[in-house]
Amino acid sequence: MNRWERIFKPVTVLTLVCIVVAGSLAAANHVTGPVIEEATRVAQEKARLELLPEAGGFKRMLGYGGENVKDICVALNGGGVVVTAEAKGYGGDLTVMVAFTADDTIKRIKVTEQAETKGIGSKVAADAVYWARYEGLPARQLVLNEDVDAVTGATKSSRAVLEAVNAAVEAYYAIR
Amino acid sequence: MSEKKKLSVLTNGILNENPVLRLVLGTCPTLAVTTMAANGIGMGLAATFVLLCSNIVISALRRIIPEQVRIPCYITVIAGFVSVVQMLVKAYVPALDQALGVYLPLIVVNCIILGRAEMFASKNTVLNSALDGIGMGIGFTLTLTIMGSIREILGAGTWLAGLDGLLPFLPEGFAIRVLPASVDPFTLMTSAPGGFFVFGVLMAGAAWLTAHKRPAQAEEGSV
Repeated sequence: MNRWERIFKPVTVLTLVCIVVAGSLAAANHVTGPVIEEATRVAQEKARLELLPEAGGFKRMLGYGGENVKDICVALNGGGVVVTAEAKGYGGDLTVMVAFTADDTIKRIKVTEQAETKGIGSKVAADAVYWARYEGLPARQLVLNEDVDAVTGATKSSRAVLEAVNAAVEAYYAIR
Repeated sequence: MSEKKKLSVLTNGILNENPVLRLVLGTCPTLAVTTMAANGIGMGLAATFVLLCSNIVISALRRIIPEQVRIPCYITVIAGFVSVVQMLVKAYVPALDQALGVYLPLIVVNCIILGRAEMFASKNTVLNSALDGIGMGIGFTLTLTIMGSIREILGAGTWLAGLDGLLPFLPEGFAIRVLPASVDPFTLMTSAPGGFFVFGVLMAGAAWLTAHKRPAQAEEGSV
């Protein structure tokens, strides 16, 4: 086996393979990147409108650096605020959207991203029946099993939802 | 290669060399995603697509790729396809991306794909490698779906919940209730121990089925 076969050919081939693959990834990213961004934006807007249907539209508030708060959107009609906050669940980060009405009550919440255990933590994180327990609660720091009951066997997931809501409450008062 | 042999390359992956139950490859994603039948279907189809593409490319490059760097080359090709699939799914079927979550990027380390690249695609023609990819993919998808169905029905009482993420025309929150809601589901089934239990039972079943088939195949061969 000569030197070309033994050393230079493998290096050249591997480099070429990497260049071709990286190039096709860049091309794919160029095509799909804007579509993904637009799809995410539309999905978030849709989720916000689901929580506060009468808002009509939202204006994003920038500049609040609160911990675990991803974004704050104020309803265009002045009827409320939707805060997106996250907390650590049992299976990773759990993202909650919380809608507040102008009279300082929690209108509705929705868990938009979660990876809790199916059949256990998902009873909390992926079930609108559980989210309904937060409806109409006053916007203040809530306490688990006093204001909202945890689900048996899913305490960690229940606590994560509560922590995210509390972070959202904090943000709500900070910008009000 | 005769037509019959081509067909056997395709059907091999379904039972005789079922990647999960007979070759025992890709066990980690198998146990992790099969808490629900719909997850199994989605994961199976995504892996089938990557398997088909990577088998074709690796088989086409089999004379060019030098022995010493074949594994890095395979991994690069596979990772490239997985990333492209992920971007496409995110852009055009966001619901499927939500349903599959972290399992989609994890296809890169699915050893069925690397295993078939090394065992089959690097030694066979492009057409046969494509057939092998499809067959192995069908076997993987079928196994994940069966496992997911058993675990979901026993562990959550529903069947095909979340299929609306894969098929957008289904109503949101689609699920077939198998056990009445008043029956407390056997939640152990959706956690890891239940996964191992179902996996073992299915492997025993596949071993039993292939053992039964062997005499019949011997006859076929002698004709």
